[in-house]
Amino acid sequence: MPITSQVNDDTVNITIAGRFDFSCHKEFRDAYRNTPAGSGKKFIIDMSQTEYIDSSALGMLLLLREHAGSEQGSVHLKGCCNEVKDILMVSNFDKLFEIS
Amino acid sequence: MSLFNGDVVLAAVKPTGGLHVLFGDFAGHGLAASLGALPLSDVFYSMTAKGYSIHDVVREINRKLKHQLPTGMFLAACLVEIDTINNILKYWNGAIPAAWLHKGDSVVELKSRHLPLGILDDSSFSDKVDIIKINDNDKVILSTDGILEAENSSGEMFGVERFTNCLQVNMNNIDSADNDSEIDLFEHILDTLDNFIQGQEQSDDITLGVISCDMDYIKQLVSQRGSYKKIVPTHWEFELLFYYDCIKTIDPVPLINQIMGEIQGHQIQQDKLSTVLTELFCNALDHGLLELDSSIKSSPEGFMQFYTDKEELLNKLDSGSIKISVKNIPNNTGGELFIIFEDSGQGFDVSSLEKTETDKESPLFSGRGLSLIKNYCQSVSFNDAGNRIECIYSWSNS
Repeated sequence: MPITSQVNDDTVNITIAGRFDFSCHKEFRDAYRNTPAGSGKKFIIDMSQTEYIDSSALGMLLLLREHAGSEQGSVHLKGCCNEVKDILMVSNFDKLFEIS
Repeated sequence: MSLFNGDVVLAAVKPTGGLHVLFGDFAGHGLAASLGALPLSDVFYSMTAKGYSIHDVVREINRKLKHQLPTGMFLAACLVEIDTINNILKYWNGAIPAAWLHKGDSVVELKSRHLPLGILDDSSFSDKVDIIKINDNDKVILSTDGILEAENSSGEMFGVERFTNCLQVNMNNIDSADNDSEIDLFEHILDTLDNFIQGQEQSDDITLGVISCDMDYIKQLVSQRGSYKKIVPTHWEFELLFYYDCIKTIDPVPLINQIMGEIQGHQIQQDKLSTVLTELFCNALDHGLLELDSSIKSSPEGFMQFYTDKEELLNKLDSGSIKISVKNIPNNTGGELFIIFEDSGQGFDVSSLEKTETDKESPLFSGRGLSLIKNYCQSVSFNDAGNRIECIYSWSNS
């Protein structure tokens, strides 16, 4: 799965293209693990090219959120298509993540 | 195809005669995804057997899973409680996308209003349940996301729209169907799904359940529970006093059952007694402390209004108390329980009660709770002020 990441001064931008599921586990973790926990950086996940997410992807997002400090607004899920948004909303993930 | 199943279905009968059902889907794949199943079923079965309501059960499950599962593992779950005394369905849905109530002429979605279980700390967790009035033989349809995401050979998903359409079609046929209509609905959904996927192999678990709200059947399930070791009936008495702030958080019925179970070895059949205790407590709270008027329950809108008002008033409650005392006078085969509920409220005009009873012409919209208590108890009496009720309940261990 093509996952790319770019670290800036105050943000980490991660782009996920295609299906975001269990097979991305390692790649996704590699995308943020080098940014030390508690660095105060905001994580912006570009999901505009994400076609599908499953429950393991939701779990991976929770791991990232914990890494980022578990505060509201520390992880922003950006550009979600309707299908992806539906899955996030039915799981009420808008209570944990900034979703747009 | 995953080798291990991440879906889980649990069902258990409450001592009061209601039914608890849980449909869950553990996140992740393989054996790891089923790790939480043991603590989950442990909490579900033991708390249901003790008479706890689903909001207590769901809070405890969340607490346990949060504690025991690593971050990233969680349980999407929908818990439903079919309350056969008040004919209501209570549900708590955290991330189950396919849950509906089929009412014969309409379909109501049991919406997901919560995060999955095992994510939030106890302090930010919400155990708020939704309540819907149900009629005999309404159907609850529960499914995990496997059905919605089932794909045909061209990669199209079954989806919510096909699922709900399939429920609509069946609705028109249900009138002509016989008593077995719940089987029809189940088979109909599976047939529709089979027609859609055309034998295509599926990547996720598919779980479907149709629960028929057959009140009489659910009530009689209670009496089929196992029997307990006999302990000689003894003399005992206890008194509990709950103040307003405590009343907001506690359900005293499981607590009383537990105390009696410890003393008398669970030989007091709890189904009817739990019903009596529940009704006594509701009366003391609803009418004694909250001063709610049951007569608004006569219409469907009023019925919902009653529960909305109750929640609001309970939140605002800032004084008052309910005292509960239970005394056992043993005999050879069991005993007589003297149960007293006394609330700090204004009471009510006890003579008005006798008037309603003699006036058989007037329709009885409310007071079902009291008639249940009278049915199950040897005697029921009020004090003059109407804020204290004493009941005698006979039990036998044979």
